[in-house]
Amino acid sequence: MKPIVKTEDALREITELAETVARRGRASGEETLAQQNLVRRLERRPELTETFIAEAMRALEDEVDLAEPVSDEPHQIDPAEVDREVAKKALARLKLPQLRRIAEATSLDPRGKEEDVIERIVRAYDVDASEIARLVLTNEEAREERGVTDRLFPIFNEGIDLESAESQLRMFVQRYLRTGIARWFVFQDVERHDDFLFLNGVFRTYRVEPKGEAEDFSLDATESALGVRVRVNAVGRFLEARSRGTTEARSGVTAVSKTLGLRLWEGLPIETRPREGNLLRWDHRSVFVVSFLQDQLAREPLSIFNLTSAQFETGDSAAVDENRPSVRSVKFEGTHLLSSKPACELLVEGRALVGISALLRFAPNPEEAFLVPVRVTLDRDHVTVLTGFASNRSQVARDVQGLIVNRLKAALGKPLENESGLERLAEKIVSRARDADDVTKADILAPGQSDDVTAKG
Amino acid sequence: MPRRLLSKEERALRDGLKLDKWVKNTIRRRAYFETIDLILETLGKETFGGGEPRDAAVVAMLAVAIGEDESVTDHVLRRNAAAPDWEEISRTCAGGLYEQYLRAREDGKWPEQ
Repeated sequence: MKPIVKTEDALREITELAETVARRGRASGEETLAQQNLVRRLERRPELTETFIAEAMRALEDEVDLAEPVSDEPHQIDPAEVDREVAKKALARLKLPQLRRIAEATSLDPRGKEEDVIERIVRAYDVDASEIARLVLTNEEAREERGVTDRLFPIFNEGIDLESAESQLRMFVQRYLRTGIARWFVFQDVERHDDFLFLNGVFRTYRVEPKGEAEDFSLDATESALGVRVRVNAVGRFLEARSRGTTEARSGVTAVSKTLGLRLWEGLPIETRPREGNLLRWDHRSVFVVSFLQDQLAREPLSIFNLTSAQFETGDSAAVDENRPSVRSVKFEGTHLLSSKPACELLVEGRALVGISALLRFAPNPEEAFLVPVRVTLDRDHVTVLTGFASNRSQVARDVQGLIVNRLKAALGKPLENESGLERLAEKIVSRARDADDVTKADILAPGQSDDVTAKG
Repeated sequence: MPRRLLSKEERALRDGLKLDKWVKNTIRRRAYFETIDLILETLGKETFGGGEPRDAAVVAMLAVAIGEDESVTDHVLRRNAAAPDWEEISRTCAGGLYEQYLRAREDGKWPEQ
Protein backbone atom coordinates (compact mmCIF):
# COMPACT_ATOMS: atom_id res chain seq x y z
CA MET A 1 0.00 0.00 0.00
CA LYS A 2 1.34 3.47 -0.85
CA PRO A 3 2.03 5.83 2.08
CA ILE A 4 -0.17 8.91 2.36
CA VAL A 5 1.69 12.21 2.34
CA LYS A 6 0.34 15.73 2.73
CA THR A 7 0.70 17.53 -0.59
CA GLU A 8 2.02 20.69 1.08
CA ASP A 9 4.80 18.71 2.84
CA ALA A 10 5.87 17.01 -0.40
CA LEU A 11 5.69 20.29 -2.31
CA ARG A 12 7.77 22.09 0.33
CA GLU A 13 10.54 19.47 0.16
CA ILE A 14 10.51 19.43 -3.63
CA THR A 15 10.64 23.22 -3.81
CA GLU A 16 13.60 23.34 -1.39
CA LEU A 17 15.36 20.67 -3.45
CA ALA A 18 14.62 22.63 -6.65
CA GLU A 19 16.18 25.78 -5.16
CA THR A 20 19.32 23.84 -4.18
CA VAL A 21 19.78 22.09 -7.53
CA ALA A 22 19.02 25.32 -9.43
CA ARG A 23 21.86 27.01 -7.53
CA ARG A 24 24.14 24.11 -8.36
CA GLY A 25 23.15 24.28 -12.04
CA ARG A 26 23.89 28.01 -12.19
CA ALA A 27 27.26 27.49 -10.47
CA SER A 28 28.20 24.62 -12.79
CA GLY A 29 27.34 26.75 -15.85
CA GLU A 30 29.37 29.72 -14.65
CA GLU A 31 32.36 27.49 -13.89
CA THR A 32 32.32 26.06 -17.42
CA LEU A 33 31.71 29.38 -19.16
CA ALA A 34 34.53 31.06 -17.23
CA GLN A 35 36.93 29.05 -19.40
CA GLN A 36 35.51 30.45 -22.68
CA ASN A 37 36.34 33.71 -24.43
CA LEU A 38 32.99 34.06 -26.13
CA VAL A 39 29.77 33.19 -24.33
CA ARG A 40 26.30 33.20 -25.88
CA ARG A 41 23.44 34.00 -23.53
CA LEU A 42 19.69 34.54 -23.84
CA GLU A 43 18.39 38.00 -23.11
CA ARG A 44 15.40 36.48 -21.35
CA ARG A 45 15.69 32.97 -20.04
CA PRO A 46 12.50 30.89 -19.95
CA GLU A 47 11.23 30.11 -16.43
CA LEU A 48 10.98 26.30 -16.35
CA THR A 49 11.37 25.49 -12.66
CA GLU A 50 7.62 25.44 -11.90
CA THR A 51 6.99 23.14 -14.89
CA PHE A 52 9.60 20.64 -13.73
CA ILE A 53 8.44 20.79 -10.11
CA ALA A 54 4.90 19.93 -11.28
CA GLU A 55 6.35 17.10 -13.40
CA ALA A 56 8.25 15.70 -10.43
CA MET A 57 5.14 15.90 -8.23
CA ARG A 58 3.14 13.95 -10.82
CA ALA A 59 5.84 11.27 -10.99
CA LEU A 60 5.92 11.05 -7.20
CA GLU A 61 2.18 10.39 -7.10
CA ASP A 62 3.08 6.87 -8.24
CA GLU A 63 5.05 6.34 -5.04
CA VAL A 64 2.78 8.01 -2.52
CA ASP A 65 -0.85 9.04 -2.25
CA LEU A 66 -0.86 12.81 -1.96
CA ALA A 67 -3.55 14.09 0.39
CA GLU A 68 -4.69 17.43 -1.01
CA PRO A 69 -6.07 20.10 1.29
CA VAL A 70 -9.79 20.72 0.63
CA SER A 71 -10.66 24.12 -0.78
CA ASP A 72 -12.77 26.75 1.03
CA GLU A 73 -15.91 24.76 0.29
CA PRO A 74 -16.14 21.85 2.75
CA HIS A 75 -15.27 18.45 1.20
CA GLN A 76 -14.63 20.10 -2.17
CA ILE A 77 -11.98 18.39 -4.29
CA ASP A 78 -9.88 20.69 -6.43
CA PRO A 79 -11.95 21.15 -9.64
CA ALA A 80 -8.83 21.00 -11.84
CA GLU A 81 -7.93 17.65 -10.32
CA VAL A 82 -11.49 16.39 -10.88
CA ASP A 83 -11.29 17.42 -14.55
CA ARG A 84 -7.97 15.63 -14.95
CA GLU A 85 -9.18 12.45 -13.26
CA VAL A 86 -12.44 12.44 -15.25
CA ALA A 87 -10.40 12.68 -18.46
CA LYS A 88 -8.20 9.79 -17.26
CA LYS A 89 -11.22 7.68 -16.39
CA ALA A 90 -12.65 8.24 -19.87
CA LEU A 91 -9.40 7.00 -21.42
CA ALA A 92 -9.32 4.02 -19.06
CA ARG A 93 -12.20 2.59 -21.10
CA LEU A 94 -9.68 1.86 -23.85
CA LYS A 95 -7.42 -1.15 -23.76
CA LEU A 96 -3.66 -0.79 -23.33
CA PRO A 97 -2.78 -1.54 -27.00
CA GLN A 98 -5.22 1.20 -28.08
CA LEU A 99 -3.73 3.63 -25.56
CA ARG A 100 -0.23 2.83 -26.82
CA ARG A 101 -1.39 3.45 -30.39
CA ILE A 102 -2.77 6.88 -29.40
CA ALA A 103 0.46 7.69 -27.56
CA GLU A 104 2.54 6.79 -30.61
CA ALA A 105 0.28 8.84 -32.90
CA THR A 106 0.72 11.82 -30.54
CA SER A 107 4.52 11.37 -30.46
CA LEU A 108 4.38 10.31 -26.81
CA ASP A 109 6.25 7.50 -25.12
CA PRO A 110 3.91 4.47 -25.48
CA ARG A 111 5.78 2.37 -22.91
CA GLY A 112 4.86 1.63 -19.32
CA LYS A 113 1.75 0.77 -17.36
CA GLU A 114 -1.75 1.72 -18.44
CA GLU A 115 -1.94 4.59 -15.96
CA ASP A 116 1.39 6.04 -17.10
CA VAL A 117 0.29 6.06 -20.73
CA ILE A 118 -3.08 7.59 -19.82
CA GLU A 119 -1.37 10.29 -17.77
CA ARG A 120 0.87 11.23 -20.71
CA ILE A 121 -2.07 11.44 -23.11
CA VAL A 122 -4.17 13.58 -20.76
CA ARG A 123 -1.23 15.94 -20.26
CA ALA A 124 -0.51 16.12 -24.00
CA TYR A 125 -4.13 17.06 -24.68
CA ASP A 126 -4.09 19.58 -21.83
CA VAL A 127 -7.10 17.89 -20.15
CA ASP A 128 -9.31 19.01 -23.06
CA ALA A 129 -12.59 17.14 -22.40
CA SER A 130 -13.81 17.45 -25.97
CA GLU A 131 -10.55 16.14 -27.45
CA ILE A 132 -10.43 13.28 -24.94
CA ALA A 133 -14.03 12.32 -25.76
CA ARG A 134 -13.17 12.29 -29.47
CA LEU A 135 -10.10 10.11 -28.83
CA VAL A 136 -12.09 7.59 -26.80
CA LEU A 137 -14.93 7.37 -29.31
CA THR A 138 -12.54 7.07 -32.25
CA ASN A 139 -10.52 4.30 -30.67
CA GLU A 140 -12.94 2.25 -28.61
CA GLU A 141 -14.15 -1.17 -29.68
CA ALA A 142 -17.70 -1.61 -30.88
CA ARG A 143 -20.22 -1.81 -28.05
CA GLU A 144 -23.96 -2.25 -28.04
CA GLU A 145 -24.75 1.08 -26.33
CA ARG A 146 -23.13 3.04 -29.16
CA GLY A 147 -23.70 1.00 -32.25
CA VAL A 148 -26.04 -1.07 -34.37
CA THR A 149 -26.48 -4.76 -33.58
CA ASP A 150 -28.16 -7.33 -35.79
CA ARG A 151 -28.55 -11.02 -35.06
CA LEU A 152 -29.10 -13.41 -37.92
CA PHE A 153 -31.16 -16.46 -36.98
CA PRO A 154 -31.19 -19.09 -39.74
CA ILE A 155 -34.52 -20.65 -40.65
CA PHE A 156 -35.34 -23.72 -42.77
CA ASN A 157 -37.92 -21.87 -44.87
CA GLU A 158 -36.48 -20.63 -48.19
CA GLY A 159 -39.04 -17.96 -48.97
CA ILE A 160 -41.85 -16.25 -47.10
CA ASP A 161 -45.10 -14.92 -48.52
CA LEU A 162 -44.98 -11.38 -47.16
CA GLU A 163 -48.67 -10.73 -47.87
CA SER A 164 -49.73 -13.55 -45.64
CA ALA A 165 -46.97 -12.88 -43.06
CA GLU A 166 -48.07 -9.27 -42.74
CA SER A 167 -51.70 -10.13 -42.10
CA GLN A 168 -50.79 -12.85 -39.59
CA LEU A 169 -48.50 -10.52 -37.65
CA ARG A 170 -51.04 -7.68 -37.75
CA MET A 171 -53.53 -9.95 -35.98
CA PHE A 172 -51.30 -9.83 -32.90
CA VAL A 173 -50.52 -6.09 -32.83
CA GLN A 174 -51.10 -4.69 -29.33
CA ARG A 175 -51.05 -8.23 -27.95
CA TYR A 176 -48.32 -10.01 -26.11
CA LEU A 177 -46.78 -13.46 -26.09
CA ARG A 178 -44.93 -14.99 -23.16
CA THR A 179 -41.48 -16.12 -24.36
CA GLY A 180 -39.91 -17.35 -21.11
CA ILE A 181 -40.11 -17.07 -17.33
CA ALA A 182 -41.28 -13.50 -16.59
CA ARG A 183 -40.50 -12.61 -20.20
CA TRP A 184 -42.98 -11.28 -22.77
CA PHE A 185 -42.84 -9.96 -26.29
CA VAL A 186 -45.36 -7.21 -27.08
CA PHE A 187 -46.29 -6.84 -30.79
CA GLN A 188 -46.34 -3.12 -31.56
CA ASP A 189 -46.62 -2.59 -35.31
CA VAL A 190 -45.76 -4.01 -38.72
CA GLU A 191 -43.89 -2.02 -41.38
CA ARG A 192 -44.24 -3.42 -44.89
CA HIS A 193 -41.59 -2.84 -47.58
CA ASP A 194 -41.30 -4.30 -51.10
CA ASP A 195 -39.31 -7.43 -50.31
CA PHE A 196 -39.25 -7.49 -46.52
CA LEU A 197 -41.22 -6.39 -43.51
CA PHE A 198 -40.34 -5.24 -40.01
CA LEU A 199 -42.12 -6.31 -36.89
CA ASN A 200 -41.48 -3.76 -34.16
CA GLY A 201 -42.02 -4.87 -30.60
CA VAL A 202 -41.03 -4.53 -26.98
CA PHE A 203 -39.44 -7.17 -24.80
CA ARG A 204 -40.63 -6.93 -21.20
CA THR A 205 -39.04 -8.68 -18.30
CA TYR A 206 -38.67 -8.35 -14.54
CA ARG A 207 -35.64 -8.54 -12.32
CA VAL A 208 -36.88 -10.19 -9.12
CA GLU A 209 -35.27 -9.88 -5.71
CA PRO A 210 -36.57 -11.69 -2.61
CA LYS A 211 -36.42 -9.36 0.40
CA GLY A 212 -37.27 -9.30 4.04
CA GLU A 213 -36.31 -10.34 7.52
CA ALA A 214 -38.04 -11.92 10.53
CA GLU A 215 -41.63 -12.63 9.41
CA ASP A 216 -41.86 -9.88 6.79
CA PHE A 217 -40.90 -11.25 3.38
CA SER A 218 -41.65 -9.92 -0.10
CA LEU A 219 -40.56 -10.06 -3.73
CA ASP A 220 -39.19 -6.91 -5.28
CA ALA A 221 -39.84 -6.92 -9.05
CA THR A 222 -38.27 -4.29 -11.30
CA GLU A 223 -39.54 -4.09 -14.87
CA SER A 224 -37.42 -3.41 -17.91
CA ALA A 225 -38.71 -2.80 -21.44
CA LEU A 226 -36.36 -3.12 -24.42
CA GLY A 227 -37.09 -2.43 -28.07
CA VAL A 228 -36.69 -5.14 -30.73
CA ARG A 229 -37.18 -5.03 -34.50
CA VAL A 230 -37.37 -8.27 -36.45
CA ARG A 231 -36.88 -8.25 -40.21
CA VAL A 232 -38.70 -10.91 -42.22
CA ASN A 233 -37.38 -11.31 -45.78
CA ALA A 234 -39.36 -12.52 -48.79
CA VAL A 235 -36.24 -14.28 -50.06
CA GLY A 236 -33.48 -15.75 -47.94
CA ARG A 237 -33.13 -18.01 -44.97
CA PHE A 238 -32.70 -15.66 -42.01
CA LEU A 239 -34.77 -13.75 -39.50
CA GLU A 240 -32.83 -10.64 -38.54
CA ALA A 241 -33.30 -9.11 -35.11
CA ARG A 242 -32.05 -5.63 -34.31
CA SER A 243 -31.74 -5.01 -30.58
CA ARG A 244 -29.03 -4.42 -28.01
CA GLY A 245 -29.05 -7.78 -26.26
CA THR A 246 -29.45 -11.42 -27.22
CA THR A 247 -32.37 -12.11 -24.87
CA GLU A 248 -34.70 -9.55 -26.42
CA ALA A 249 -33.58 -10.54 -29.94
CA ARG A 250 -34.37 -14.17 -29.21
CA SER A 251 -37.74 -13.18 -27.74
CA GLY A 252 -38.69 -11.24 -30.90
CA VAL A 253 -37.52 -14.05 -33.17
CA THR A 254 -39.46 -16.61 -31.12
CA ALA A 255 -42.61 -14.46 -31.39
CA VAL A 256 -42.25 -14.13 -35.19
CA SER A 257 -41.36 -17.77 -35.82
CA LYS A 258 -44.32 -18.98 -33.71
CA THR A 259 -46.75 -16.61 -35.39
CA LEU A 260 -45.61 -17.48 -38.92
CA GLY A 261 -44.91 -21.16 -38.25
CA LEU A 262 -41.22 -20.87 -39.22
CA ARG A 263 -38.68 -23.48 -38.18
CA LEU A 264 -35.44 -22.17 -36.69
CA TRP A 265 -32.14 -23.97 -37.17
CA GLU A 266 -30.56 -25.53 -34.09
CA GLY A 267 -27.08 -24.53 -35.29
CA LEU A 268 -25.50 -22.45 -38.04
CA PRO A 269 -25.56 -23.24 -41.77
CA ILE A 270 -21.81 -23.25 -42.35
CA GLU A 271 -20.90 -25.04 -45.55
CA THR A 272 -17.38 -23.72 -46.03
CA ARG A 273 -15.88 -27.20 -46.01
CA PRO A 274 -12.46 -27.39 -47.60
CA ARG A 275 -11.59 -30.32 -49.87
CA GLU A 276 -7.88 -30.64 -49.08
CA GLY A 277 -4.82 -29.15 -47.43
CA ASN A 278 -4.23 -27.51 -44.04
CA LEU A 279 -7.80 -26.31 -43.77
CA LEU A 280 -9.08 -29.88 -43.39
CA ARG A 281 -7.69 -29.93 -39.85
CA TRP A 282 -9.30 -26.64 -38.84
CA ASP A 283 -12.65 -26.30 -37.08
CA HIS A 284 -15.32 -25.48 -39.68
CA ARG A 285 -16.20 -22.25 -37.80
CA SER A 286 -12.57 -21.08 -37.99
CA VAL A 287 -12.59 -21.77 -41.74
CA PHE A 288 -15.74 -19.69 -42.08
CA VAL A 289 -14.51 -16.75 -39.96
CA VAL A 290 -11.05 -16.58 -41.58
CA SER A 291 -12.60 -16.88 -45.02
CA PHE A 292 -15.10 -14.13 -44.13
CA LEU A 293 -12.28 -11.89 -42.91
CA GLN A 294 -10.27 -12.46 -46.04
CA ASP A 295 -12.95 -12.42 -48.71
CA GLN A 296 -15.64 -10.17 -47.24
CA LEU A 297 -14.23 -7.81 -44.62
CA ALA A 298 -11.08 -7.16 -46.66
CA ARG A 299 -13.04 -6.38 -49.82
CA GLU A 300 -13.80 -2.89 -51.14
CA PRO A 301 -15.10 -0.57 -49.87
CA LEU A 302 -13.98 -2.26 -46.65
CA SER A 303 -10.48 -3.22 -45.55
CA ILE A 304 -9.09 -4.52 -42.27
CA PHE A 305 -7.18 -1.79 -40.49
CA ASN A 306 -6.56 -3.73 -37.30
CA LEU A 307 -7.84 -7.04 -35.91
CA THR A 308 -8.11 -6.26 -32.21
CA SER A 309 -9.60 -9.37 -30.63
CA ALA A 310 -10.14 -13.01 -31.46
CA GLN A 311 -12.29 -15.34 -29.41
CA PHE A 312 -11.75 -19.09 -29.49
CA GLU A 313 -13.74 -21.97 -28.06
CA THR A 314 -11.34 -24.40 -26.46
CA GLY A 315 -13.70 -27.34 -26.75
CA ASP A 316 -13.39 -28.30 -23.09
CA SER A 317 -16.87 -29.02 -21.80
CA ALA A 318 -17.51 -28.88 -18.06
CA ALA A 319 -20.87 -30.61 -18.37
CA VAL A 320 -19.71 -33.97 -17.01
CA ASP A 321 -18.22 -32.89 -13.72
CA GLU A 322 -19.01 -29.46 -12.34
CA ASN A 323 -16.12 -29.69 -9.88
CA ARG A 324 -13.54 -30.24 -12.59
CA PRO A 325 -11.78 -27.00 -13.53
CA SER A 326 -12.25 -26.21 -17.20
CA VAL A 327 -11.81 -23.47 -19.76
CA ARG A 328 -14.46 -23.22 -22.44
CA SER A 329 -13.27 -20.17 -24.30
CA VAL A 330 -10.26 -17.91 -24.58
CA LYS A 331 -10.15 -14.39 -25.93
CA PHE A 332 -7.02 -12.69 -27.24
CA GLU A 333 -6.85 -8.92 -27.27
CA GLY A 334 -4.18 -6.81 -28.91
CA THR A 335 -3.36 -5.66 -32.40
CA HIS A 336 -3.22 -7.51 -35.74
CA LEU A 337 -4.13 -10.70 -33.92
CA LEU A 338 -4.06 -13.07 -36.85
CA SER A 339 -0.37 -12.29 -37.23
CA SER A 340 0.27 -13.44 -33.67
CA LYS A 341 1.71 -16.86 -32.91
CA PRO A 342 -0.77 -17.83 -30.12
CA ALA A 343 -3.82 -17.15 -32.33
CA CYS A 344 -2.24 -19.10 -35.22
CA GLU A 345 -1.46 -22.00 -32.88
CA LEU A 346 -5.08 -22.27 -31.76
CA LEU A 347 -6.31 -22.22 -35.36
CA VAL A 348 -3.87 -24.94 -36.35
CA GLU A 349 -4.77 -27.03 -33.27
CA GLY A 350 -8.35 -27.07 -34.55
CA ARG A 351 -9.85 -24.73 -31.95
CA ALA A 352 -12.92 -22.85 -33.14
CA LEU A 353 -12.48 -19.16 -33.89
CA VAL A 354 -15.97 -17.93 -33.00
CA GLY A 355 -15.59 -14.17 -32.71
CA ILE A 356 -13.52 -11.27 -33.92
CA SER A 357 -13.37 -7.54 -33.26
CA ALA A 358 -11.73 -5.32 -35.81
CA LEU A 359 -11.25 -1.76 -36.82
CA LEU A 360 -12.32 -1.58 -40.47
CA ARG A 361 -11.49 1.11 -42.96
CA PHE A 362 -14.59 2.07 -44.91
CA ALA A 363 -14.04 4.11 -48.06
CA PRO A 364 -17.47 4.67 -49.64
CA ASN A 365 -15.95 6.98 -52.29
CA PRO A 366 -12.46 8.18 -53.29
CA GLU A 367 -12.81 11.34 -51.17
CA GLU A 368 -13.93 9.80 -47.89
CA ALA A 369 -12.66 7.11 -45.55
CA PHE A 370 -13.75 6.20 -42.02
CA LEU A 371 -12.42 3.90 -39.34
CA VAL A 372 -15.26 1.81 -37.96
CA PRO A 373 -15.14 -0.73 -35.11
CA VAL A 374 -17.00 -3.98 -35.75
CA ARG A 375 -17.57 -7.26 -33.96
CA VAL A 376 -18.76 -10.50 -35.55
CA THR A 377 -19.62 -13.45 -33.31
CA LEU A 378 -20.80 -16.95 -34.12
CA ASP A 379 -23.20 -18.13 -31.41
CA ARG A 380 -24.85 -21.53 -31.13
CA ASP A 381 -27.87 -20.67 -33.30
CA HIS A 382 -27.24 -17.18 -34.66
CA VAL A 383 -24.55 -14.79 -35.85
CA THR A 384 -24.17 -11.36 -34.27
CA VAL A 385 -22.88 -8.34 -36.15
CA LEU A 386 -22.20 -5.14 -34.23
CA THR A 387 -20.92 -1.95 -35.81
CA GLY A 388 -19.91 0.88 -33.48
CA PHE A 389 -20.55 4.56 -34.18
CA ALA A 390 -17.01 5.55 -33.07
CA SER A 391 -16.70 9.29 -33.74
CA ASN A 392 -18.39 9.07 -37.14
CA ARG A 393 -21.93 10.12 -37.94
CA SER A 394 -24.29 7.23 -37.18
CA GLN A 395 -25.20 6.73 -40.85
CA VAL A 396 -21.63 5.54 -41.52
CA ALA A 397 -22.09 2.71 -38.99
CA ARG A 398 -25.48 1.85 -40.50
CA ASP A 399 -23.98 1.69 -44.01
CA VAL A 400 -21.14 -0.58 -42.84
CA GLN A 401 -23.57 -2.72 -40.84
CA GLY A 402 -25.78 -3.16 -43.93
CA LEU A 403 -22.77 -4.19 -46.03
CA ILE A 404 -21.52 -6.74 -43.50
CA VAL A 405 -24.96 -8.23 -42.83
CA ASN A 406 -25.59 -8.65 -46.57
CA ARG A 407 -22.18 -10.24 -47.12
CA LEU A 408 -22.74 -12.53 -44.16
CA LYS A 409 -26.12 -13.65 -45.47
CA ALA A 410 -24.51 -14.32 -48.83
CA ALA A 411 -21.65 -16.32 -47.30
CA LEU A 412 -23.57 -18.45 -44.79
CA GLY A 413 -24.77 -21.73 -46.24
CA LYS A 414 -22.49 -21.37 -49.29
CA PRO A 415 -19.35 -23.36 -50.13
CA LEU A 416 -15.91 -21.70 -50.02
CA GLU A 417 -15.59 -19.11 -52.77
CA ASN A 418 -11.84 -18.72 -52.80
CA GLU A 419 -10.44 -21.99 -51.46
CA SER A 420 -7.03 -21.65 -53.10
CA GLY A 421 -6.55 -18.14 -51.65
CA LEU A 422 -7.65 -19.34 -48.24
CA GLU A 423 -5.28 -22.31 -48.41
CA ARG A 424 -2.37 -19.95 -49.12
CA LEU A 425 -3.37 -17.89 -46.09
CA ALA A 426 -3.64 -21.12 -44.06
CA GLU A 427 -0.06 -22.00 -45.06
CA LYS A 428 1.15 -18.68 -43.64
CA ILE A 429 -0.83 -19.31 -40.46
CA VAL A 430 0.60 -22.84 -40.08
CA SER A 431 4.09 -21.50 -40.66
CA ARG A 432 3.54 -18.73 -38.06
CA ALA A 433 2.28 -21.30 -35.53
CA ARG A 434 5.50 -23.32 -35.96
CA ASP A 435 7.81 -20.31 -36.17
CA ALA A 436 10.13 -19.95 -33.17
CA ASP A 437 11.03 -16.31 -33.94
CA ASP A 438 9.20 -13.31 -32.51
CA VAL A 439 6.83 -11.57 -34.91
CA THR A 440 8.11 -8.07 -35.57
CA LYS A 441 5.69 -6.98 -38.29
CA ALA A 442 2.00 -7.79 -38.72
CA ASP A 443 1.71 -9.63 -42.03
CA ILE A 444 -1.47 -11.70 -41.91
CA LEU A 445 -4.65 -9.80 -42.76
CA ALA A 446 -2.96 -6.57 -41.73
CA PRO A 447 -2.87 -3.29 -43.66
CA GLY A 448 -0.03 -2.85 -46.12
CA GLN A 449 0.49 -6.57 -46.76
CA SER A 450 0.91 -7.51 -50.38
CA ASP A 451 -0.67 -10.96 -50.28
CA ASP A 452 -2.49 -11.99 -53.37
CA VAL A 453 -4.84 -14.03 -51.22
CA THR A 454 -7.25 -11.18 -50.66
CA ALA A 455 -10.28 -11.44 -52.88
CA LYS A 456 -10.92 -8.47 -55.09
CA GLY A 457 -14.39 -6.93 -55.23
CA MET B 1 21.97 -3.17 -18.62
CA PRO B 2 21.32 0.44 -17.56
CA ARG B 3 17.85 1.84 -18.19
CA ARG B 4 17.24 3.91 -21.32
CA LEU B 5 15.35 7.00 -20.34
CA LEU B 6 15.10 9.06 -23.49
CA SER B 7 12.17 8.74 -25.87
CA LYS B 8 12.63 8.50 -29.63
CA GLU B 9 11.95 12.23 -30.01
CA GLU B 10 14.38 13.12 -27.23
CA ARG B 11 17.08 11.01 -28.86
CA ALA B 12 16.48 12.85 -32.14
CA LEU B 13 16.76 16.19 -30.33
CA ARG B 14 19.93 15.02 -28.57
CA ASP B 15 21.51 13.98 -31.88
CA GLY B 16 20.36 17.10 -33.74
CA LEU B 17 21.85 19.51 -31.18
CA LYS B 18 24.76 17.25 -30.23
CA LEU B 19 23.59 17.40 -26.62
CA ASP B 20 25.53 14.22 -25.81
CA LYS B 21 28.69 16.31 -26.28
CA TRP B 22 27.41 18.64 -23.53
CA VAL B 23 26.35 15.69 -21.38
CA LYS B 24 29.69 13.91 -21.62
CA ASN B 25 31.80 16.98 -20.76
CA THR B 26 33.99 15.77 -17.90
CA ILE B 27 34.23 19.17 -16.17
CA ARG B 28 30.55 19.27 -15.31
CA ARG B 29 30.03 15.52 -15.03
CA ARG B 30 31.25 15.28 -11.45
CA ALA B 31 29.16 18.26 -10.27
CA TYR B 32 26.03 16.86 -11.85
CA PHE B 33 26.59 13.34 -10.53
CA GLU B 34 26.79 14.88 -7.05
CA THR B 35 23.56 16.72 -7.75
CA ILE B 36 21.92 13.44 -8.77
CA ASP B 37 23.14 11.89 -5.50
CA LEU B 38 21.42 14.71 -3.63
CA ILE B 39 18.20 14.32 -5.65
CA LEU B 40 18.12 10.55 -5.04
CA GLU B 41 18.79 11.06 -1.33
CA THR B 42 16.01 13.64 -0.97
CA LEU B 43 13.42 11.83 -3.08
CA GLY B 44 14.29 8.56 -1.33
CA LYS B 45 13.11 9.94 2.02
CA GLU B 46 10.05 8.57 3.82
CA THR B 47 8.14 11.68 2.71
CA PHE B 48 8.20 10.25 -0.80
CA GLY B 49 7.59 6.62 0.08
CA GLY B 50 11.11 5.64 1.07
CA GLY B 51 11.95 3.61 -2.04
CA GLU B 52 13.99 4.31 -5.16
CA PRO B 53 12.32 7.35 -6.75
CA ARG B 54 10.75 7.18 -10.20
CA ASP B 55 13.09 8.05 -13.06
CA ALA B 56 10.66 10.74 -14.23
CA ALA B 57 10.90 12.54 -10.85
CA VAL B 58 14.71 12.42 -10.84
CA VAL B 59 14.91 13.65 -14.43
CA ALA B 60 12.47 16.50 -13.70
CA MET B 61 14.51 17.71 -10.72
CA LEU B 62 17.73 17.42 -12.66
CA ALA B 63 16.10 19.42 -15.46
CA VAL B 64 15.57 22.25 -12.94
CA ALA B 65 19.36 22.45 -12.50
CA ILE B 66 20.02 22.24 -16.23
CA GLY B 67 17.40 24.92 -16.91
CA GLU B 68 19.57 27.28 -14.82
CA ASP B 69 22.88 26.21 -16.38
CA GLU B 70 23.89 28.77 -19.00
CA SER B 71 26.48 26.47 -20.53
CA VAL B 72 23.52 24.59 -22.08
CA THR B 73 22.23 27.84 -23.58
CA ASP B 74 25.68 28.59 -24.96
CA HIS B 75 26.01 25.07 -26.39
CA VAL B 76 22.64 25.27 -28.19
CA LEU B 77 23.03 28.87 -29.44
CA ARG B 78 26.38 27.92 -30.99
CA ARG B 79 24.46 25.53 -33.23
CA ASN B 80 22.08 28.20 -34.54
CA ALA B 81 19.02 26.10 -33.76
CA ALA B 82 15.81 27.70 -34.98
CA ALA B 83 13.38 28.31 -32.08
CA PRO B 84 14.94 25.92 -29.56
CA ASP B 85 12.48 24.23 -27.19
CA TRP B 86 14.32 24.94 -23.92
CA GLU B 87 12.00 22.79 -21.86
CA GLU B 88 12.64 19.72 -24.04
CA ILE B 89 16.34 20.52 -24.21
CA SER B 90 16.60 20.63 -20.39
CA ARG B 91 14.62 17.38 -20.09
CA THR B 92 16.76 15.66 -22.74
CA CYS B 93 20.05 16.74 -21.14
CA ALA B 94 18.71 15.60 -17.77
CA GLY B 95 17.68 12.20 -19.16
CA GLY B 96 21.07 11.81 -20.86
CA LEU B 97 22.95 12.72 -17.70
CA TYR B 98 20.90 10.36 -15.57
CA GLU B 99 21.53 7.54 -18.08
CA GLN B 100 25.28 8.28 -17.77
CA TYR B 101 25.00 8.28 -13.98
CA LEU B 102 23.21 4.91 -13.91
CA ARG B 103 25.81 3.45 -16.25
CA ALA B 104 28.68 4.79 -14.13
CA ARG B 105 27.08 3.32 -11.02
CA GLU B 106 26.68 -0.04 -12.70
CA ASP B 107 30.27 -0.01 -13.94
CA GLY B 108 31.51 0.87 -10.44
CA LYS B 109 32.82 4.26 -11.66
CA TRP B 110 30.57 6.28 -9.38
CA PRO B 111 30.99 7.21 -6.60
CA GLU B 112 34.62 7.80 -7.45
CA GLN B 113 37.05 5.83 -5.27
